[in-house]
Amino acid sequence: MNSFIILRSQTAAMRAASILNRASIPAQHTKLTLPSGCVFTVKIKTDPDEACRILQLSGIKCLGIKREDELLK
Amino acid sequence: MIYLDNAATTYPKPLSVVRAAERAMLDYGANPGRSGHTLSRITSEKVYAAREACAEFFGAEPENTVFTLNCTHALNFAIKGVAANYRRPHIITTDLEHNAVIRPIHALYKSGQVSYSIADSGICDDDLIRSIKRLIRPDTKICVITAACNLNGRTTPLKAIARLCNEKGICLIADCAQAAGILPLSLSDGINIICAPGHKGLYGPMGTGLMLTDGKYPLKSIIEGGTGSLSTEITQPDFLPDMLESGTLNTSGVIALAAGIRFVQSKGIDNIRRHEDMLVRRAINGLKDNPRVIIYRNDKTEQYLPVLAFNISGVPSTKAAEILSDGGFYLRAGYHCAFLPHKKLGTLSGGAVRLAPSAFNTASDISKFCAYIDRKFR
Repeated sequence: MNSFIILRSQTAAMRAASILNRASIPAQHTKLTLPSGCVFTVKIKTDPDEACRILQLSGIKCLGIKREDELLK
Repeated sequence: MIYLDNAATTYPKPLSVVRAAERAMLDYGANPGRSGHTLSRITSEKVYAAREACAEFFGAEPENTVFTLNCTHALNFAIKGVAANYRRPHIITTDLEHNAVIRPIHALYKSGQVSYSIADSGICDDDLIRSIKRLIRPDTKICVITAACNLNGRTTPLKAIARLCNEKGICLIADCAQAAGILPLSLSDGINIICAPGHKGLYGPMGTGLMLTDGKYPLKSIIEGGTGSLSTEITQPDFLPDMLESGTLNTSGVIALAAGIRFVQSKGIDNIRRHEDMLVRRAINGLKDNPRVIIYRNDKTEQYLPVLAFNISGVPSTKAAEILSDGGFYLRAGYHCAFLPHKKLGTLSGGAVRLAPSAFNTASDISKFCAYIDRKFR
């Protein structure tokens, strides 16, 4: 199941994807349209909490996590 | 044709820069950060790679690296953006500044938003530091200083001024219009905000610039609009780079700018500086025995970037540049958008001619230039 980690800007999402890929967590930056507005995210297949922990260590704040099935509702 | 007007913009550009701009327009021309489709994503990746390259070059974080239209645009963001956080702050600047510094400050002063003082650069670095120290007041919050004067290349002691500003809690904004790509400049030197053009010593296209901050001093936006982020909110995002990057980026420009930075890195900043210094020394040696040539330099106490301001006695600077242009030598005459340095040099009545070589000029270019001056003006 894909998860989307929400970040505050595209630059943050690009940097996050770069950090996660270097940490051997395949990640792709993706823009999503949610009812609350457009958000920049990184899409990952692995544990999003672990990914957020790695990002926070690099000073990147995760604003939220969405699972793919939530987006389809 | 021999182009010696590289302080206005470098020409020619490296072929790698031209190719990077071409590829950006031909191969990934979608709007980055707006759409979610594959081409937009690929373009975003290229823009991010460019942002990383620029950030690394100046010791900044990618998120604190803002693409601007030019150095003036960056300076306006920095000066007005920091000043907006205080109630009528005092700003210190110097008598070596370009209008891109003094005009935004004066405009803020005229609208009652700041007060300011101009430090006297004297004849050496110590004079300038002493003058700045004397001008610091309890309400001094910002110091805006050029890394090198655009008229004659005189450098300023940025690291020492940074130490002083850091001690006093003053935000140091450096105008690196002439120095970026010639002097090693980094936020790690204590500069809080670096403003730089993309199209001069970084060899990028015109219409590109950079503002890089260490994040210690908050900024406010002076232009609001679409950023691709927080699109359902009425207020401008308060985080960088989005806060200062409203509207579509000059995508091909910033991608080509990164290619320009790679060109500088591949040549080596020190090598470029040495080469251009050699050319300017050659010009000075070639001109100094001509009694009609007036050179505006004081090598005994001042240090310079490879830029040379001069005049021909009895010939207005614009006329001299016209005669040089007729001979195929392209230099800029007049006031160089810098009335303060002209006032300091005593050239406010007619301006001066400025010679500014680039990495592409050769010793032969300078020899031809000096020979032409001798032929026309001795």
